[in-house]
Amino acid sequence: MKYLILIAYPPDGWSKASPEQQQRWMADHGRFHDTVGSAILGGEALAGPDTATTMRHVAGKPVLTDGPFAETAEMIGGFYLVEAPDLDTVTGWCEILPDGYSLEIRPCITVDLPD
Amino acid sequence: MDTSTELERIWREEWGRLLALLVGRFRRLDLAEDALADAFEAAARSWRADGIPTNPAAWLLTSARRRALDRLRAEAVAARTVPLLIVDARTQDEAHRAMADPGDAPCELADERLRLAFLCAHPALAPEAAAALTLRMVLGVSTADLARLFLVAEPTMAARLTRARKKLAVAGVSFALPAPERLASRVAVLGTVAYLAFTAGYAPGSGPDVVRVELAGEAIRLTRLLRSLLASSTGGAPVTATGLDPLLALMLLQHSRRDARVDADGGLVLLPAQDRGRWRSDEIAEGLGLLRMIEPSRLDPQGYQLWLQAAIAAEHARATTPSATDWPRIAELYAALDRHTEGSPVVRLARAVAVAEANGPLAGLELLAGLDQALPSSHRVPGVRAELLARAGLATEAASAYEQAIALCGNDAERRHLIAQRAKLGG
Amino acid sequence: MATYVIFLPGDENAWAAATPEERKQGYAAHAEFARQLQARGHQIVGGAELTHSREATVVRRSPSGEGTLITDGPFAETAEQITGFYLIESDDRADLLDICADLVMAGETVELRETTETTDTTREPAGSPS
Repeated sequence: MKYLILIAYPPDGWSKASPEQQQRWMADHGRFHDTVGSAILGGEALAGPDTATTMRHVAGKPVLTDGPFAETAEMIGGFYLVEAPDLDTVTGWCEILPDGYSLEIRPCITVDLPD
Repeated sequence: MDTSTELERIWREEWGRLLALLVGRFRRLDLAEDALADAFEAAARSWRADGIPTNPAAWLLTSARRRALDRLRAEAVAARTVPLLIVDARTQDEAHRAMADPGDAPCELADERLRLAFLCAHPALAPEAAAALTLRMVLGVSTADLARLFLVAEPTMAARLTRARKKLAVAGVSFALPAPERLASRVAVLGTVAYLAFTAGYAPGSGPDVVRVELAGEAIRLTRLLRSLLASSTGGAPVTATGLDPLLALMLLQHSRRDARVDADGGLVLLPAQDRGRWRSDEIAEGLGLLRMIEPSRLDPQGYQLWLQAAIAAEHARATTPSATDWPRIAELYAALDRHTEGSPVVRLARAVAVAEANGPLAGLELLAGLDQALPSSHRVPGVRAELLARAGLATEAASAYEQAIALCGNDAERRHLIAQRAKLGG
Repeated sequence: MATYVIFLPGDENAWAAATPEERKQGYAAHAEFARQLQARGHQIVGGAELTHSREATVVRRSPSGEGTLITDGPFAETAEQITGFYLIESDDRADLLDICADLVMAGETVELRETTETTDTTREPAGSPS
């Protein structure tokens, strides 16, 4: 099965952390990559929510606003897309990631993109 | 033999095992459940006419399997989009083998109930959904009974179960025992689910009954079953076999008082006024015996918390009269529980009651400070305050606290009790 | 060339209740979106449609600080939930937004986010905790 792991954390988490802490988190991601290996289908770190642009359909027009679609205490800061035999495998991998994260694991529906 | 009595016994004893086999074979909870329920219905008709077969479980399994296959054929097109549970090849093979000739090896039908319990009590489900699903799947409690026991309408309960079944398949929870390194934490989830069912039965917040004995009883049955399955499947490995001991001890000790908690008119009888002769001494003995075997320092935080609660219940159970209660010891245990739950208002409230018994009502009243803010809608805080004020001789203050408690109380029996207490003031 | 993530937040219940015809229109809008992207020099390098957020599972550090706590999801009870995403390489953000506008007119809401270069170690990795 294909799962999306959404990574959320408080917005100032990274900037407030000490260099040692940042190093440890980087190392956790390194271990995640080593363990999960080729089952990682993709993964991105996102730029801060201040770079987000949201576009909605309002009164017949597409309207642009600054910022993410929802104001939440934790922001989505990145994701991994993984292939796994079952949910418990994914939660096991999630335990490797930095422990300040909130991780949301969502099964994917396969979308056939036209060529 | 009376067919319906015998069927009921078989339902209680065999439901979970047969369902687990069907789930292993068909990989769909809904299909397995409907097929097995249909098979029991067919058995009720056919056995009445033809007599009970020599191997009832095999008869039911064969009938359920045939019904599941019929249903699959009928829904062939739609079923392609139904998400299937993840079941490894070996488990599927074993289920196939058990079903191929169930009459041949009546005692050898694999017992997959533990797998089923770990599937239903998965942390990916909300605890209340997991509790209902586990009682339905492992013990075979009907949806109508679950609705009644959890105080929701039957369609609401049916929808809750449907959503839970679907999530297990869509989210990819596998029909498998947890990995060894996760066994302890998953046993803890099983315990949480069983305890949730127990407390839902034991202390309903509203409705006509003080205790819904049946639900608490089913929760105990589940805990006993899980405990024995764990012990036999893991050879009694310390972490798993004993993980449910404090929980079972607590449930037994609390449940042993059920007959004395309600008077002839359905009114609530509080601990000091209970007829201790109506406590179930066999259950108390079993609970105390379990407690003696537990080494509290080896428990995980959740287990230790349950042990503290069980130790408190044990102190009450040991006292042959209310005045023989070792209140200083109970206050001490509550202080530890208070520390352990980091100021849980419910624990603080219970501690205040114990401290009042040990050191007088004023000491208890002191501990109530701040609880009204923490539990604004609970009738218990003003209820306890009223009682302690009355004991301290402050009748006016006590009367107004009783008024507040009566206004907040949603349980009929408890409200009657509060009204009676208020009437006694100054009388 | 920059990599963008396009999140598709939306009312999941409306989609779950959609008629087959409405679903067909929804998928057609995405097919058209993909065609436009390709025709105008943007490249889809990943993406997925997600299951309903009630099928989500959340992993957090346990309150005791030891180990993790697994619960049912989603992690935020917002009215809109992410229903899918695209990963797109593009060097024309303005044109990318123009193409997104068509998708928005077809009923989607779109959140466009830049990704960080993971080779640049002075920036955050895939998410950074507190």
